Amino acid sequence: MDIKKVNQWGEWFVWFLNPLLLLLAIYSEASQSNNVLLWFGKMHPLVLHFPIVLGIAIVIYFLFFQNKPLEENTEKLVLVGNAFMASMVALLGLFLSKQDAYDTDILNLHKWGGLSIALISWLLIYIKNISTSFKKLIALCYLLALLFFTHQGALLTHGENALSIPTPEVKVAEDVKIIDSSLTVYEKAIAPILAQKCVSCHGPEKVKGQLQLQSPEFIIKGGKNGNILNGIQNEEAMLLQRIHLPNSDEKHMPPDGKLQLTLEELTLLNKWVKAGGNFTKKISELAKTDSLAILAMAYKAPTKGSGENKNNAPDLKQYNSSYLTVNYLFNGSNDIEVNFFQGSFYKTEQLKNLEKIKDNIVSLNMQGMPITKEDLAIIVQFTRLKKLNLNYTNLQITDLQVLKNISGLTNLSICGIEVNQSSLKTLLEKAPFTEVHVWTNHSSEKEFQQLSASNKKVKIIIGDNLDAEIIKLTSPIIDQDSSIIAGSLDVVIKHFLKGTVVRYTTDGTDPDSLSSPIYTKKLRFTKNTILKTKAFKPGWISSDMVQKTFYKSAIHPDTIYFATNPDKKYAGIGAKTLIDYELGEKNFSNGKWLAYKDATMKFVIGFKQTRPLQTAYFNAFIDNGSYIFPIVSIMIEGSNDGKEFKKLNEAKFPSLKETDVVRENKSFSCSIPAGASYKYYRFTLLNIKKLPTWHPGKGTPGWIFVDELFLN
Amino acid sequence: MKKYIIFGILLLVAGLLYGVIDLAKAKKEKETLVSYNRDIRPVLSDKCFSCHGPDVSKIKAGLRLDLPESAFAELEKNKGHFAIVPGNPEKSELIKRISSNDPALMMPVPESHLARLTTDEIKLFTKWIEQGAKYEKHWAFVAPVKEALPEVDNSKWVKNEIDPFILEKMEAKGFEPNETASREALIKRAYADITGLAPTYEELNQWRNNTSDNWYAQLLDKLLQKPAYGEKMALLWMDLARYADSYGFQDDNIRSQWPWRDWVINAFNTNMHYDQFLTQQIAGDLLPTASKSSILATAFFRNHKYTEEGGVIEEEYRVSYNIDKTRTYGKAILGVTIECAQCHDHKYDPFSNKDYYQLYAFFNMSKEKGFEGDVSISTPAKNPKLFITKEEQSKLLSFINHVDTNKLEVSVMGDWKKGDTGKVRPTYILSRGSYDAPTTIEVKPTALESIMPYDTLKYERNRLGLAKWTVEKKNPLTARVFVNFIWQEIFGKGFVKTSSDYGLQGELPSHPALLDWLAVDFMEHNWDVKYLIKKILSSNTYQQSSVVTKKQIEQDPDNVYYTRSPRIRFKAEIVRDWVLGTSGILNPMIGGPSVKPYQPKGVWESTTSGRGVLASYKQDHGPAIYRRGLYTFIKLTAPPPSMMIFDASNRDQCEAKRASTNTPLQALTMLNDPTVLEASRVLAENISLGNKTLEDKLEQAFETIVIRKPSRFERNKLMDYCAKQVAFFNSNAALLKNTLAVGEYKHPSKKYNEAEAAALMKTILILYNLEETITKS
Amino acid sequence: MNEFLEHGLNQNRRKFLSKLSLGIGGLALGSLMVPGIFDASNEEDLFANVLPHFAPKAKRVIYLFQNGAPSQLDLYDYKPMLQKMHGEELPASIRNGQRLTGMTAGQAKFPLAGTKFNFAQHGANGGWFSESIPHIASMSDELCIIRSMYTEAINHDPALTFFQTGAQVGNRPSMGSWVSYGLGSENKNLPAFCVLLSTGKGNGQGVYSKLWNNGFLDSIHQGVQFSSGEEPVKYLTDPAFIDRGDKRKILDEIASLNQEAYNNIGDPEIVTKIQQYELAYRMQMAVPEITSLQNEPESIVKMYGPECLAPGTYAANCLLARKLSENGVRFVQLYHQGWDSHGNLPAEIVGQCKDVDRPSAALIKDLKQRGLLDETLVIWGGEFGRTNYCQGALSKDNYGRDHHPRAFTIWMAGGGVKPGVYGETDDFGYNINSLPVHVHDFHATVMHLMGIDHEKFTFKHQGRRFRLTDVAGKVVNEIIS
Repeated sequence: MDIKKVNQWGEWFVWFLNPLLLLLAIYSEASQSNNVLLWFGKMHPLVLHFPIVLGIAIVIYFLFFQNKPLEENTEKLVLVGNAFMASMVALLGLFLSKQDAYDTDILNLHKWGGLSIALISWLLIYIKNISTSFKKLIALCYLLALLFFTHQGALLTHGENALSIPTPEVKVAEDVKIIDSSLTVYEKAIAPILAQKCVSCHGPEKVKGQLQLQSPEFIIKGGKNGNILNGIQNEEAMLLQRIHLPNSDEKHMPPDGKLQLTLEELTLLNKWVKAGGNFTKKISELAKTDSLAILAMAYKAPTKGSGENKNNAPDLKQYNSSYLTVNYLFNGSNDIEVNFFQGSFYKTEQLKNLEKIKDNIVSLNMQGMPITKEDLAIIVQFTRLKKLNLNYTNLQITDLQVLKNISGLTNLSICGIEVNQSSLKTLLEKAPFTEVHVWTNHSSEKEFQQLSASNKKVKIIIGDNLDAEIIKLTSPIIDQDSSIIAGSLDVVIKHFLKGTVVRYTTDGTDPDSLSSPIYTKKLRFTKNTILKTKAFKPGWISSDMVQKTFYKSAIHPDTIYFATNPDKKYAGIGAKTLIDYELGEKNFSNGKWLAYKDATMKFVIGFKQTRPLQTAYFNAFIDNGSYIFPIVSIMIEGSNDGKEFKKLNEAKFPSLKETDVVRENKSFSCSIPAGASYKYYRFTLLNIKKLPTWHPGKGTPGWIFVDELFLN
Repeated sequence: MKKYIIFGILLLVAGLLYGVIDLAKAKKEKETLVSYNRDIRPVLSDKCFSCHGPDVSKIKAGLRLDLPESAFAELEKNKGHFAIVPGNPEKSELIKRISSNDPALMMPVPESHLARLTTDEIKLFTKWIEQGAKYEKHWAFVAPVKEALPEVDNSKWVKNEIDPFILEKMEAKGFEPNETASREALIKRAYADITGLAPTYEELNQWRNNTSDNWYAQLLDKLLQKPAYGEKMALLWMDLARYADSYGFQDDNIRSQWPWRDWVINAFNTNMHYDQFLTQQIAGDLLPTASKSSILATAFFRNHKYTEEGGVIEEEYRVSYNIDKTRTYGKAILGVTIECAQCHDHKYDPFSNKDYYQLYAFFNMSKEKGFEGDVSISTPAKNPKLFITKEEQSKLLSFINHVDTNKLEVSVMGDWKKGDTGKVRPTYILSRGSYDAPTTIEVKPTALESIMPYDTLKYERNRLGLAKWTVEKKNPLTARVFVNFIWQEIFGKGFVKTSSDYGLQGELPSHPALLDWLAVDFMEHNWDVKYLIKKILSSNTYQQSSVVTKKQIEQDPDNVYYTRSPRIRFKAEIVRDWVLGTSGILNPMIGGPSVKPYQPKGVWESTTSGRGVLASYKQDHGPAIYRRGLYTFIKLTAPPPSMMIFDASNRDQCEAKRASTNTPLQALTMLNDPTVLEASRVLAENISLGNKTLEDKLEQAFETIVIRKPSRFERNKLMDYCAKQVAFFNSNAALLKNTLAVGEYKHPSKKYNEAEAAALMKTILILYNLEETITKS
Repeated sequence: MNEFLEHGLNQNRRKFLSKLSLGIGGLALGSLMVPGIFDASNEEDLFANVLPHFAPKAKRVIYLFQNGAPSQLDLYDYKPMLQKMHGEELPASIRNGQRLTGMTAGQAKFPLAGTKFNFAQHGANGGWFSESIPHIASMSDELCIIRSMYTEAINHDPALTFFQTGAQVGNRPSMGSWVSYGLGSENKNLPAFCVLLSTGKGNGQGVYSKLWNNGFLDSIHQGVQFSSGEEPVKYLTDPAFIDRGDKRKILDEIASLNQEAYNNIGDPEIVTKIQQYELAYRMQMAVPEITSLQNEPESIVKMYGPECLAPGTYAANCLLARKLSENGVRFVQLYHQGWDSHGNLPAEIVGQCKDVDRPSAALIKDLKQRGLLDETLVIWGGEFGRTNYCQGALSKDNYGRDHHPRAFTIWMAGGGVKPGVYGETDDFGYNINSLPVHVHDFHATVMHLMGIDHEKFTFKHQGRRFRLTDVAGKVVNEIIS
């Protein structure tokens, strides 16, 4: 393509870029940073070298080769190219400057410098026709500008000592993994603080106020106002004065805009100086309770940039999952504890992943994990492990020998792993363990005690084992809430202990361990039944018997209503309470009971057509402690118009004796002579009208509580 | 060459111009006045008032920063220095202290464990003092005024007065409102917000096919007439009034406050105006026109817990009951939290210890006792009681839904009269708020004067006076608080997020001008609640679609600017109502005693003391178990789990805003709760009765539940699943049987294809479990 | 206005984030499930990053709350003097002005009632134990017995509420909620705070869901009720006619439809919802695996007693507590009712001990043998004590005791407490002679054992910074090993 065209385009660009550059530079404070631009900015260091080289070349060309100039277009191409690149670089530089990680003064210098370079190189294109000497002058300035300002850039990126002779690093205990109290307070805390927040300006590079803080000598020497550690008379030491000034004050250190001291750091410096600013005192030499010692111990130098992440130990988020938690023991600690949960989700990879942090893991819980030898092989690499839980892992005790290689492993739990005296003995030989948790069958418990007696340095905690003890079984559970058989009713009997034999009877006799039927599948009842059941198991005392009565209720009346109202507090859901197929419990105020005291219980049931009845059962509650006595008598009358009733039958029941202490449900029944068939039946249930003399409520009427009526 | 120069110069000039304007703009931003209420007070109250605030007992160095006179005065401990020197930050000790790094000087002091002020905050303080340190009265304690509607660019978007306020802020932020939502979305939304019930399939079609231009207005009017409206509105009030069906505390026996609930439902349905609504509940018994109905209203204050634990000390509890009444009045009606002032002057708000007991005094005149005996002699109400006979109920109080003939009793308010000699109880300030440490300082009933003076010529010194003071149009809070509650009900959050704390620690309103406009407008229309609701629902702000764009999520995640209609999961009760309603098993009866629907085993039994009527859960049967969630029985010590899982209030205390969580327990409930399974079954059976194709039946189910037509994707997906299930059930009779056996609700009498029904049932279960189904969007 | 709104917006952005992760966590079971639930950057969750403040001694707590107040005088605090003076009047000088409950306020006389149980010393620390708790006595060397507890409330509800929330009234967060909020859950598949309920044969007082309420903390910190029955967590079990494969299909359908909705609407809540359903499914597998007691070896069953297999018994809850705890649940709270013996105490307390003695001891043994006791704090105690004088009729071997907040006994084990006997009451067991421990001190100490400085551990609500210990409480360093 024609070189002229290129130049023309190039010039257009240059003429566009430079004004733009100017504006951006002027308003850069206002303008916002933006990731895309930043990204472009990152290319600044890449491209900047071209214009520098080219620029120098041009200078040389202007200085020494004026006598034999290049062909016009070529020369122009070079100049335009240079101008273009220079402005490009400057532009990218501006973008980059938005990532405010730089010392502002240097930055500004470099910014305007770079800009001027761009402008001069722009100018250079058009100085063709001016006097050679003037040209040379400009060229010279250009060179100087080039060298000086670009070096500023170097300072920014490569740091203060970019081109200066390296000085020995300040000894800083910045990333001590284990907190080491043998360090001096200065090494552990003070030096890091100064190094991170002060030395940039009070160091080998910038020596502002003639003060350097990179090492004790300099610190003791002080600055232009002399000593900084002890204040004149009762005045505060200069160092403290400055850091305690409000940020707004221009004398405040570190200056506004620079990374500030945290409260922790302030206090540390404050206490250290007040304590005489000693450089040699070890933390261990201070009293444990000395706040300076405590702070110094706890202090972790912030990692560059962020003041957030207090210690430079790894972030553990990535290691955690739904079935694995990895945490530091506490905030600020580097020691890590690891817990695995729910064996069914365990994968060896999860353990492998931890290798990156293996040196921080001090406690590992693998209880119930299906782990194998190769998992153990990984675990053995966790060299700082102190506590290890392998309960109920399907390992063999012989597999565990390798664990002895973990020198610090003192606490080991292997409950559920099959052990005997000898195998445990071998495991304990030359082992670092001081506390071992094991389990054993009852027989060898003694031997283990001897073993632990003989082996003083390790404490063996033996699982409390009760094979031998003989205790009573719990009763079976009759799993059927309803006790009413409408048609038929299925009943399930449960026992939670495996290997238990459940026997039952339905003939009223008590179940025994030999003859009574064994419960296998659910029972189906179709008539009134008393179910009694009991649990048996070798090595156990057989359980107490439980029983439950099931009532047949073949007939459901179409209507039911009170002739006399029950007591207000125990009115249930009205007359329907008696036929709602719901029995009340021992808590008789739960609204499932009907109760009568002063009035006599009278109610009527009705059918659409006349209907014969055989028997009526009432479920009643007796609790003489609560003045609730048995029903005295039940009278049944029949009628077809619901007005004229004819007595059919009456049943009487015994009352309580002084010795009785009753609190139970009881069934009362009254039969109806065959042949009788009516639309309406009236029931009259008599309660005791005068409590016996032996009862605290003697003379007053007793209660009756009834919750259900069953008809056959 | 020339053209280059000209070109360059042009660029330069243009650029410079741009720059100048830009800078000028920036300047203007910076020059805006710092507002005490907006910028300064929140910080003061958060970081300083604990030691330099209204609580006189805690004042350090005799300095109060809440009062200019104290803040500008010479410091007691530090003569010649001043905390604040208006116009002169350098001289102001406050600035020195908050910016100092010296542990000995810095404020807040390290011991307080309070975070230090940020540099921005310090800048704001400095600027504020430069600008003369002007104090302002707390915004919420100044009566609202109607500002002129703001100018907006996109004026054709504005549907009513609400929109300009909303749009202005949006435009200021460079946001655009969403376009109007689809008709179906609007139908679902309006039904949910006004009635809390889904439209029936027929209603849905009817509104979809309504061709008139003002169909939406018609819809709103129609819905506001439905009795379900009262039930929906009552939900909010039940939380505020901490309504429950039991007494709470250890034996937690039954009580009967539900007639009051019927009163509330009726009040909303008859659109009783809010001032009346409050007056009757605060002082219905003291009105010259007092009637059984207005007395019943005062049960509002008697809904709190009552102990029936044997051997409690009566006075201890009588006092605690009044404290609860005072708290409830404050939070629910005035939107201020005054309980702090019970033991000491309020730390942040201008409520003194004295103010508290003056308010407390209104309730301390009640005939109420601290203890009426233990559970063994428990009655459904505690004195003072209101008795309602069957006749009265059927004649005067027909809104009470009471079937059986027994006389009703309700706990209501009732004061000792001058007549009852020696009975009228004086109120003394209790030191540290404890019942057994009354001081000798007697106080007279007086409302919070720092909000509005209590002119004893206008207001009696009893609850009637309090009621008048409360609904006085000049009262800066009452209207704001209620309007904000309604907005919160509809948009999920109020203008004031802390909807029961308008105090100095409360959040500032996001749209102060709009809040005030609505409050004033509400009062100008005589506190007409239906008017207010229609106003809000008629705004374009409300009618936006709820689609969320990436930009909105990034720049307005919490929808502060209402750039879209919020998507809100239904309240616990509405979730239930929606399921029952759409499936057609809902029992629409209004009011009456609470009911006991399905509930997991052992919820009551595992917590009970074994005493009282509520020791064990006796589930209801028949229509009772298909009532709306509002009527589900609330036993305080073991509230209904299905409700609690969906963030319902535990009703232990007045609650103004529910959380809205999104949890696995909710997923489990929607999948396994017998109510949902039964609803699915019944709907499936009824639909399968019709003689449509399976696909149409499916579509009908979808529209009935999700209230819109399914997309092709959805139709295919569901059809595919359903068809497979049909095949499955055809070949598996046993499973078919017990699938359709779920729940007590009767099967249709007519013959229907069971395999199809079972398949539909499981498909419908899926529909009920869609996020969209139980979300208002 | 702009900068103000800008500020507001930032807050919202933070809330939004937290809301999401919270959603993922979800109510109560929230801390459960997804890793990073506590990483949200809003104020409430900051603690997760700074807690524990220092090295914790206890990682987990099992609190065996004896609801109704067991009689210290018939179990731990041996007072021969009372037996000598059985039936004589309580000297007014001893009682001096202690307020009475309404139950005995009417009583004309306050006859001292000596315990009818024989006491003996057990273990190296010489702690006294009544014959009615032989198994607990056998663990004496593990126990740190505090004989000098005292509280302020005199009735059950406030006293219980005080012990659980640090305040007698109001909707404050429960102790377990605080811990959940501060430390989160170890096992992301279980809640940080679980509650187990049981009822004894004695006079019950009821418990209230308020006691494990999250109060003003986020609802994900609410205690979750667990049981070892068929349905360990409410609504966990599928209906009979839906099997796992079936459920999986249904969930897939729901997920794909929700996903579709998200594509159209773009609301992140929908994504959360999808995750919730996945988590629910995972829970249905995880929880039963942990809560089923069937596979416990027989020797363990004997250790806790065979009742431990019957869901809802105290024994079952102790066993379940161990399983939950060893599976990483931070705070397991048991409540066992029935200790409120105002009358007929000797009979009732024997019944209570039958239920409680063996399993309580078994829990400690079991934790110990697994090497878990040193990092698990076990607490045993009621809401207050019982009076040294008789309520109602006093006979030679029958008596009742009223509530007594002024001095009572609780014990702790494991979790970095020092075994031994701390504090002492006077010869009448009525007042504290030395080293009183207030409920706030108790809270402060438990927090300390968990590595939390109770004064720094606050939550801002309605403009006030609340803490479990209110404005009081000091750590009892003497009982920390």
